[in-house]
Amino acid sequence: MENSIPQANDQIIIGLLRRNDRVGISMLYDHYSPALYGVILRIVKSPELAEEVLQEAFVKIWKNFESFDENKGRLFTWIINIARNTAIDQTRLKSFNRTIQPLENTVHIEEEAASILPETMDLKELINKLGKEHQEVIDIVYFKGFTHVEAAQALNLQLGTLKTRLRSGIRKLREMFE
Amino acid sequence: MDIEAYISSGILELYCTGGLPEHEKREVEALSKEYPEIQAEISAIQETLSKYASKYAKMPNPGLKNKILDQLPDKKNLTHTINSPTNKSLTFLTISLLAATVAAFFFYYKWNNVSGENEKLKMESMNIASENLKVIQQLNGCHEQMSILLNKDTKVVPLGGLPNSPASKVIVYWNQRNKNLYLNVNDLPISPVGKQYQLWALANGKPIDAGVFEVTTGILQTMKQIEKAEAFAVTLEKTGGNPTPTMDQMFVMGKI
Repeated sequence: MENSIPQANDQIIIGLLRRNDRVGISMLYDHYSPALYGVILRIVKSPELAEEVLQEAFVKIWKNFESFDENKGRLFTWIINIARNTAIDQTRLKSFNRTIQPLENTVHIEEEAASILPETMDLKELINKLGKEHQEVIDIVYFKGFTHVEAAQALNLQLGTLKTRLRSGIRKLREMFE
Repeated sequence: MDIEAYISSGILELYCTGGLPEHEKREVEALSKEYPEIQAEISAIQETLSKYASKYAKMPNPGLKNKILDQLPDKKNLTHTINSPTNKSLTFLTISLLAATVAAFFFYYKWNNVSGENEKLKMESMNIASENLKVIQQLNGCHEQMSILLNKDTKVVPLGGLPNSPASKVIVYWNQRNKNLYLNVNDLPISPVGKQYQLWALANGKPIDAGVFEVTTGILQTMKQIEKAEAFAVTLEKTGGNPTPTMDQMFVMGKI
């Protein structure tokens, strides 16, 4: 029961968006914009920029809805990846413009990767349970868009250690959500 | 291949977090199609990451919604541009669906917030949700039919009434690429007991059996696949159909 209503809503949203019906995008916004906005803000940091990125992400969702495939995963997974990638592209663009000061940039990245901005008690508790080691690995890849090689370098880890830590971190999250 | 070892290597977690370079991504995708265990693990990881990401949820500014929605480019709205027999029912379904959704939400939130009437509301919201799903299934059926009608390879062939029955009309939809054939009865006299209508494709002057059908209006009936046709015709035959058409019992016909 707890799951059937949100899933039925996904079905409705998907049906409407397949027909290019704006009601679908409006419902999608009502349901998921806080989650999308939160993730984007986590990545780009500035609220103004986050609003721009959210807008860009919605244009992408609207324009490319044909490429959403229910068999590959849930609607939420698909849109959150679009939001995440749009935000990461935005930060790359920014750091590309800043490459004149590469040294400062590297230091900056390492600091940011370790920092957390817990907004709610719930999140704070989750992060405490997850542990800093696991959180920084998940966040640098998932929120910063680093490849495994870049992430291993930035965190000064062996590639193998990075992979194991990422896996055990996500397993820990999975157990906590169960 | 050792699937267990592959799954526990951490590569799927890298794939889901976006940390893999393009060629390794493609490799994971290829393997996930081959091994359902890999696909299942990927789904579970994605689910976990989505839940983790949504822990960061934050309400955007209230004014942002209209700003974003107003700036979306126009897309051809399929519901309103197609003049097909299903259009009316589709619009009706969309409206009832929206009404049902609003109601479902209303009860869902009430159920969460109000303590006294919980049980009753729970039942009501369950009923509405299940009604809702029924409507969605119907809508999906319509959607399937729409996609057949809208396919660019689908040829629409109207079959007009012959002297036997001048007011009759049947529309045939033939996908010339995948050879699928569908039919929609607009108007045909009810078939007498023991008789059934049969569709024929005419190719090189010869009739090819395309299957029998019922006089049901408003739905697409799936007929036999047809490789080649210059025209389609409908005759009245004995139940189950005949190997060759009874020419004086021809009701409608149309050329491609």
